[in-house]
Order: sequence, then structure tokens, then C-alpha cells
Amino acid sequence: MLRARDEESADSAQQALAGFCEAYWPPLYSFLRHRGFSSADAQDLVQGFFAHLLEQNTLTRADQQKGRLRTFLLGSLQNFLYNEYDRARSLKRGGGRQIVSIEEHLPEAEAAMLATAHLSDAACYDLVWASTIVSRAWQSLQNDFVAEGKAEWLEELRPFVAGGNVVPLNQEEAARRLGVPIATLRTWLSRLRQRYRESLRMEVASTVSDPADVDQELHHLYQILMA
Amino acid sequence: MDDKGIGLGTADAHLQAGGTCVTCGRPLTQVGPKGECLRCLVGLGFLADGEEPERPAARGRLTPGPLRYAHFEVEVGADGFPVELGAGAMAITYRARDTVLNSEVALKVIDRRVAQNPGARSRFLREARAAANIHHPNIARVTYYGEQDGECFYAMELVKGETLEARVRRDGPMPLALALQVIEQAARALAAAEACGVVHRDIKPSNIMLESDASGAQTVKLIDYGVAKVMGPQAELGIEQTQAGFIGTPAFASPEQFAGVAQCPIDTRADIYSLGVTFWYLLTGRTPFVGRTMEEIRARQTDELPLEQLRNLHLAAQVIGLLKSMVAPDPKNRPQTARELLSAVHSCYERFNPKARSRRRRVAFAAAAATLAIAALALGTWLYQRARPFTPMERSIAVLPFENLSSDKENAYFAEGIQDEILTRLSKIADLKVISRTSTQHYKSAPQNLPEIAKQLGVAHILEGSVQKSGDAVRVNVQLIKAATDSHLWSDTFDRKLTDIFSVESEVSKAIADQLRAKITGQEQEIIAAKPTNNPEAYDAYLRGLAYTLKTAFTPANSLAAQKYLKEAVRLDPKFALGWALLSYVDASGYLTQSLQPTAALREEARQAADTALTLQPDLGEAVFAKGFYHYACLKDYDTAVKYLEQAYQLLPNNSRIPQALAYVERRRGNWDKSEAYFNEAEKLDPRNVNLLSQHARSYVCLRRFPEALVKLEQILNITPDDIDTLVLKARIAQAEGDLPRASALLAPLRLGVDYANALETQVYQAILESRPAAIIAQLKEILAKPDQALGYYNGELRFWLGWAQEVAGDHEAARESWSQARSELEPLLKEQPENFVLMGDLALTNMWLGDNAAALTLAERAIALFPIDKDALTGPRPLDILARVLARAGDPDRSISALTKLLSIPYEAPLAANPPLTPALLRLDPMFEPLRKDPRFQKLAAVSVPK
Repeated sequence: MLRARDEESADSAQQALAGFCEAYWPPLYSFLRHRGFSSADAQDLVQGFFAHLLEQNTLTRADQQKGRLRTFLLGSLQNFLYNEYDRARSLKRGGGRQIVSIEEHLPEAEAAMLATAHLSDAACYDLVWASTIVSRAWQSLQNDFVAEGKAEWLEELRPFVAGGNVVPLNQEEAARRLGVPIATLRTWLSRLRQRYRESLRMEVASTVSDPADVDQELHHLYQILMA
Repeated sequence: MDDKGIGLGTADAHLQAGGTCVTCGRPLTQVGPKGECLRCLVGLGFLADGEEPERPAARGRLTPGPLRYAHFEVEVGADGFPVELGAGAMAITYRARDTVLNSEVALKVIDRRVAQNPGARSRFLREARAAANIHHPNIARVTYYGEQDGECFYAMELVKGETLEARVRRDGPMPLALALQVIEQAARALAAAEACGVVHRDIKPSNIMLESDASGAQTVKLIDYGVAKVMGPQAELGIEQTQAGFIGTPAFASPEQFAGVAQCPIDTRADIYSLGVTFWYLLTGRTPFVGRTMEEIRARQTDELPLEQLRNLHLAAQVIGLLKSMVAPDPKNRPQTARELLSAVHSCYERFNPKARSRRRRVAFAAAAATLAIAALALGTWLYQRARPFTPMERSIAVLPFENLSSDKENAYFAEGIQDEILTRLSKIADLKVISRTSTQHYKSAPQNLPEIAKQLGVAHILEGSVQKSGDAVRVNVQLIKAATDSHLWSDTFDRKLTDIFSVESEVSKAIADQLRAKITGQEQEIIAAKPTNNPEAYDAYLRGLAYTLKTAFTPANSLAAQKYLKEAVRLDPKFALGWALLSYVDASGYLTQSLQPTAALREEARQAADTALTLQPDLGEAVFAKGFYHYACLKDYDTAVKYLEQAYQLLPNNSRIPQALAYVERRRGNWDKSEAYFNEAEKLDPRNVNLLSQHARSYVCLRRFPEALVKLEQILNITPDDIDTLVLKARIAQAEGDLPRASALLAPLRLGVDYANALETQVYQAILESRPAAIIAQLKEILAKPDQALGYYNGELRFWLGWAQEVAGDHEAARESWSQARSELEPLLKEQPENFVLMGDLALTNMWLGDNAAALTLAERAIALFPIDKDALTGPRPLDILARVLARAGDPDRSISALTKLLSIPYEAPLAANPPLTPALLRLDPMFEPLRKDPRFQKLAAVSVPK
């Protein structure tokens, strides 16, 4: 699943790994909390699990198998809990290998945990997973726009595309503020939606090994979020 | 209204959760780092280029600034705006915090203009007092009333759920049973209010909420009691000003509410009318009377009901009758009280499920709303599912090993036991296809490649689970997964005491049957719910014993341990029929496989245990099975065995052990077709049971249906690649087909020691058939130089083979020496085991080679007399095979050829290098038949292609 190829340096593979861990930390952590592990234990276990994935080179193997990263990771985590629980538990917090900076993710993950108390372990995992993927796709698009120097522009258009609870100006006002005709604004919005759709598909594609599965997985994410 | 926000991204993101999305209008519960609505975003993934998402009318009712009413503080979103739960023309409901009690409430603030009407405030107070006095689980309680700066406000219980309106908008019309249950709970609420003399006056889908508790059970809650009346006729009629200036439809108000108090007093019957329209809305997604103005609606209320809206629902006449009576224009024609309504709802409800009667009564008296909600939803789902039957394939399931999450690894037996008990209960539902444990036990608890596994097992669904046991507390978590999409259909966590563990097993089984839309007969329902013992210690011992029976092989250690714990279980509870049944099975299997000392005492224990189980519970499938298995394994009484096994199969339709046993028994009885049918049935339930598959292959080999045998063997090799016995059997088939090079290619890579008895013999036989015995002679000599005494007669048998190989090599002297030694080793053993027909065969052939034809014939004929073919079609013909060989070399070609003719016409398992029976190719190749080669009758037999 990691897109670090052989010829790439170890450093960039490492970076890819860090990015990967960061992305999938919240669902795994939420799942463990849901399973009844304390916050500290859950943190240790996720770290231990990532270290385990790294040691076993499991992700490279996962890539070769047909499957979805979502179910693969949950399955691996459950096996890890089963097989490595004692070892994992003995990993001291901060000891072992620190792969993800916990402090950055903890508050949201905890909030998510509480907010999903009504769901089953696996449904919670799925929901946090889906939210992570959809958020990451938006974040990635946003990064692209920042790189293109269009951060403020995006900020204006965001409520039209990404919703939220901030009442957007109407399109006429927004067009006036941006100094473009309303037709141009509408074209921009349409393109923005299109780019987000591509970004979302790419994000989903990075979690399935068979490109043919993208639509199905996307549909699944949709169902999880709309449930 | 769902306030279960989930925040990801920046730390403050979750604070923004709550309220509704300005773009899609859905609750803002899934938000991104900057409060993006993740539902909007994921929806974009499905838009075509240029397509725009749907947008609701802009709301814009927000008032900026912090709000505080008495000691209630309205919650403020990240944008500084109050968090609104709902808003109408007359009032806004906020989410607020009771700063004294530090709890969340719903705070309804009445519009200043309404509150300033003359006398309004005293009416508000009076109604609030009345409403506060209704205590009912289906009513959101009013807990506070206050006035401040000319505004009135109520604090109410905060219901964390969604309104029926939102639900129907989201999921479409409800299944009838669920709607009936919602109406039933609402009717209970009306009855409670009626008792307090309070009329709601504004019953409608947006004032009825469904609240889920942590376990997922849903309860109906009526909100806004006591609000409508004081807000005046406008609110009462549901008139709400929308942004665009249209008048909303007062579609749920009763005709008397339109007419006004002067003409007709408003009582519960008005609420019953509104609930009737709500019921209609739940079923159809629309209201029966539509109009652009109040007058239009009012005029239509007296028209005929648009029953055509209900046509596609195929409602029972009773339900239509209920609907009609609830929305009757004249209050006199409606149910007159909420109690009356309740009983009308019940009589509809009972039509669907006679069981509901007792359940409903129990609940009615217990007034346990939550329990009712569970029952209601379960039943709702049940009825809904009836309407859309699953195909048999969709009703198939495999239960993977449960994960043992107990800190004590010793508790693994418990997880295994619970898994097996759930599997067993499921397997008692004839409408389900349930894969046997043997086929699933090699998978991990939560594997990653579920769709692939489901394909291998031929099922559409997988159940995963985990069990955590600590002292006498048990937590069982189960997840039902639809394999095709790898999505969760259902999951639940049960926290129970050990004494209550059966309820989990039966609830899980029931829920899965519901999810898979399987029919459950009344009898099956009882069986699933049965509690095998009331003694938790006995059950614990049973589970420990059970875990040992589930291990891969019946080793002496496993059998002894299983026997020990099961004896303990029935000692603790002598009325534990299931325990007795399993004990009998363990004893009988031990007797058959000799993993327990096959003594008369063991056989007697097996009999007694089965009889005790049957006496305690004559209809217990496991007990009937135990009895049948005892007759098969201990008595070889096949007719009686079949009688019991067939009876057990009716009771345990998914238990693969039964068709498996029946396949074996029928094979012994010579009913090969029946046996094959049972093999096929067993394999559907247990597709990856290697033992079963190889026995099935063995049947095909005996029947000389080699291509089919090879298909089975490939199946086995897919599960356990490099399985020696399977590769060897493939080689034997090649030999029987006369394809010696293929046999050689299969055998050559195998380096086999004496541990693989049959495999080694196959290699020797191959060397003999190929007339290239040098290498194997050396190998046999090496093995026999240090004979392993534990192998018993097998050493003598190997010496017989060595002699034959030496004979083929032309070393007659060495051969005679080997045979002499073989005879001296085998003869004393036959005295100890006078009924061992393998030994008899070995000795007969050894005597034959040594030229003692009389002794050889005597032994062969004795074996034939002892093991008639009609007693055992599988191995019964072995002595005849031996006899044919002895006669061939004893100079009696007539009898030999007549025996061979018979042998070639029947299926059986051969005595030498056991398995393939004689074939024309083997007659041509096997040097033992040398003396017959010139006989035209023999040539004819040997020339025929593989006979059936």
C-alpha cells in the first residue's frame, strides 16, 4: 500500500510510512478505545502495532494481496492483539519506536471516541476511517491550492462545496467579492468539485490494491457516513 | 438533532459538530478540520461533471451572541452562534446546559411576539405544570419553565436521536411492523398524558423522536408536551412561515382543531387523529390529505381516504381498519381513548407473530420501554425481512474462530466453546446453511481476506467474534459481515454473568437468523433458546471438554482430557443431557480410533452416556446422534446406526458430522450412491475438512472413478499442499491406471520413513511393478535393521514386502529368508489378535510365497468367513483379493479367475498398499499374477479397460 518504490531512498520510504501511520492512527486508536482499552494502553498498542507492521514488512505484503487497506488493517490489528498482546502491552509508552506524534491526534480521536459510543467497535472504526479518508482528501486538495497560491480563493469557495455551519454568502456576493462574473464563479465551483472528486478517488485508490475496487469502496464510505 | 458529533482534524473541530449543514441540510455530525461537512464531501464523489449538489432553502435564523436563560446556558458553536436543535415560526429550540446540575437540556424559547399575547404567560405556566407532571419513558419531560425579559422558555429532557420526520426523509417509509411499534409506544405516551389530563395537540413526525441507547435499542419519545396549546391555534395547526413566505401544511391537525374549541372540545381523540396521520406518513412517506391552504386540507379530510397510496404495501385489512379509524373525521368514530388505541394496535401486531402476544403482555406490565423497543425493532426487522426473502446462498454463514481477549490465555477454551455453541445453535436452523467448524478452525480470528475466505467456504456471510472472560463476567462481541462488500451487517456486545451466557448464545443466533432472513420454526426457536444446564460449573467443565473435542486430531491426550472434563460436567449436573451426549461421542470416537483404550468398559460407558442423554432429553439431536454413532463405532451395527443418525440429521440439519457418519455407514453397507450423496451434503457444510475430502476421494478410488478422485485430491492439496498421504494416493491411482511413469514422478520426491506406512508400501509396490527393486531393498533393509517394536505386526509386513522385492530382484534365497522371518514374527501376533484380517492376509501371502499353499488357503478362507462382503462393502472383499492371489500361485486358475472376475465387478479397498482395488492394468503389471498370464480368460480380464 505504501507507494515508496524500491529505487527510492530509505528516507522517502520512511516519510511515506510516517504519513501512512498518521492517516490511519485515528481509526485504529478509536477501535481500541472502543474495545475497552485505556487511552494509554490504546496509544501504546497502536504504536506497537505500527512498529510490528514495520518489522514484519506487512504492508508490502498487503500490497501484493488483493484487498482493502481498511479491512486489512483492522484484521491485522485484531491478529496483533491476539498474538502480540503481551509483547505489545510490555512496550512502554514513549519507549519502543515513536512513529506518530500522539499529542497531535489525541484530542480529536478522544472526542471521536466519545461521540461514537453508540456504535459497535467495528462500526466506530469504519466511521472514523471514512471520516479520515474524506478529510484527508480535502486536506490534500487544500495543500495543492496552497501550493498554487490559491489558499484565500479556496477559503471563499469552501462553504459552497464543503458545507459546514457557516452560512455562505450567496453566489452573487461571492462573485462580487472575488471580482468575477457569476458564470465564472459557477465554473470555478464546478471545477473545484471535480478536483475534490479526483482527490477523493485518489485517496480511496491508495487504500485498495485493485483499482477496480475504488468505486465499491467509495460507495461503502458513502454508506458509512450517511448511516 | 443527532448531537453525536465526531471531530477529526484540529482540536476544536468537534466543537463545531451539531446543528445542520448549511449546504446539504443534514445534521453536522461528521465534520472535517475546518468544519467541512464530510457528508457533503463524500457526496461529491458521486456527482457527474458539472452537476451540482441539491441545496435546501437557506435558513439564516441564527441570532449572534451568547444566550443565557436563568441558569441555562445555550451552547455556542465555534462560530459564536447558538447551537440550534430546531426552529419553527413560534419558537427556537437550543441545546443548552443546566449550569446547576451540569447536564444537557433542550431549551425551547418561545417567540417574544407570542409570549406577549394577553394571558399567554399564565397559560404557559399552567400547561408547563401539567406537562411536568407526566412521567413516562416515551415522553421527554419538561423540567423547568421560566420567563425572562418578556420571553418564555421551557427546559426539556434532551433527546439524543432523530425525529421520525428526519428518519423517513433519510430512509424512506418504514416497514409496517416498525411503524406499528412506533405507534404503539406513542399510544402509551398518549395514555400517560391522558391520565394527567393533558392533550398534546401537535402530534406529528417532527415532534416524535427515536432515541438510541448505547446498546442500539431505540425508544420513541414525544417532545414538546404542553407547548402547542399555549402557543395558540396557529401553532396548533402546524402553520409555519417559511422563508419563501408559503404557508406550511397543517396536515396532521384533526378536523376539530380546525373547527375551533367552541364547536368541539379538544381531547385525546385529536391526538389520536394526528397519530393516525403520522402512522400514514410513516408507512407511505406522505400525508393522506394534501392541500395548498388550510381550507383545502380541511375540505379533504372528509373525503374518502386515498387508500390507493397503501395499495403497494399489501397491508392486512386489520391495519387498514386501524388507520381508517384513527383518521376518522368524526372523533366519535375513532378509538375513544389511548388505551383503546393501544389494544387496537396490539391486535394488529399480534397478527404477524403469535409469539408477540406473550412478549407484549410481559412488556406491557413491566412497562419497560427499552425492552419493548428492542423487541419492536427486532420484530420490525423480522417482518421487513419476510417481505424480501434472501436466496439460499445469501442465507449461508461461516463462524470464524472467536478471539480470546481474556488476559488469561487459559481461557481460550471458553472462546472456543462459545464460538462452537453459537455455531451449533445456528446449525439447528434448517433454513440456514452453516459451515462446520472443521472447515473454519484453521482461519484466524479476524482475517484480512474475508471475501476470499467466504469464497473458499461457499458462504455469503461471516461471523467474527471475541470473548473476554474475567471471573464470572463475560463479554462477547460479535460482528456479522457481508463478505461480498466486506461490510458489517450487524454487531453487538454482550456483557453477561457466566450464569447467563446461554442467553448470549441464543440471542446472537436469533439475531443472525433475523439478519439473514432465515425462517425459524417454533421448535427451532425453542431449541435455540434452550438452556442446557442450570449449573454454571458443569457448563464450564462441558466447555473445557468440548474444546478438546474440537482439536484437529483425536490424539490420546485430547480424548482423555475431553473425557475427564465431560465426566466432571455430568457429575456436577447429572441431568446435563448435552454433556452426556458429548461424553458418549468422545468415548465412541476413542473406541473407534483407539485414541482411548478400546475396552469393553469404554464401550459400555459410551452406551450408558448415550442412553442417559436420550432418557433425559429424547428430542436432543446430539443425544440421538450419540446413540447412532455408538452403534456405528462400537458395535458396527450399521442398520441401527443409520436409523438413529437419520433421525439426528432431521434435528441437526447443519451438523456435518451426521452426513459424514452416514456416508461412512452407507459405504460399509455397500450403498455407494447413498454414501456419495451424504459425502456431498457433508462437504457443503464442511468444505475444507481434509479428512472428509480424503474419505470421499477414497470412495471414488474404491469405485475406480479415478478422475473424480483426482479432483477431490486436488481440492485437498489446495488446502494442505504437499500432504504426503494425498500425493501417495495420487500415485496409487496412477499405478491402478497402469501409468507407472506418472506414479514414479509423484513418488520419487518423497523421502519417506517408516512413519508413513502406506506411503512406504506404495513405494515398494511401485518398485515391484517397475521391476526395479534395488533401491527399495536397501531402504527396507535399513529400516528393518533397527525394527521399532511399537509398530507391532507392521515389521513383519515389511519383511513380507522385502521378500517380494528380493524375489523380483531374482534373489530367491534372500527372499525365502525374509518370508521365513516374516512368518515367525507374524504367527505369534495372530494368536493375540485372531480377528486381525490384515494380519491374516499378510500371513496367507507369506505362506503362499513359502510354498505352504494349504496354510495360505486356510487363512484366506478363514478371513472370508469372518468378514463377509455383505457385512462390510469397503474392506470386506479384501480376503477375496488375497484368496485370488493365493489361488493364482497355488495352481487353481479357475477359482482364481472366478474370484478376480467378481473383484473386478465390485468396488472395494485393496489389501495391498491399501486403496485402489484391482484393475485390468494392475492384473497386467502385478507379478503375483504371473502364473495366469497365458490364460485367455485372464487375458480378457486384463484387457478390459477400467471397469465400473
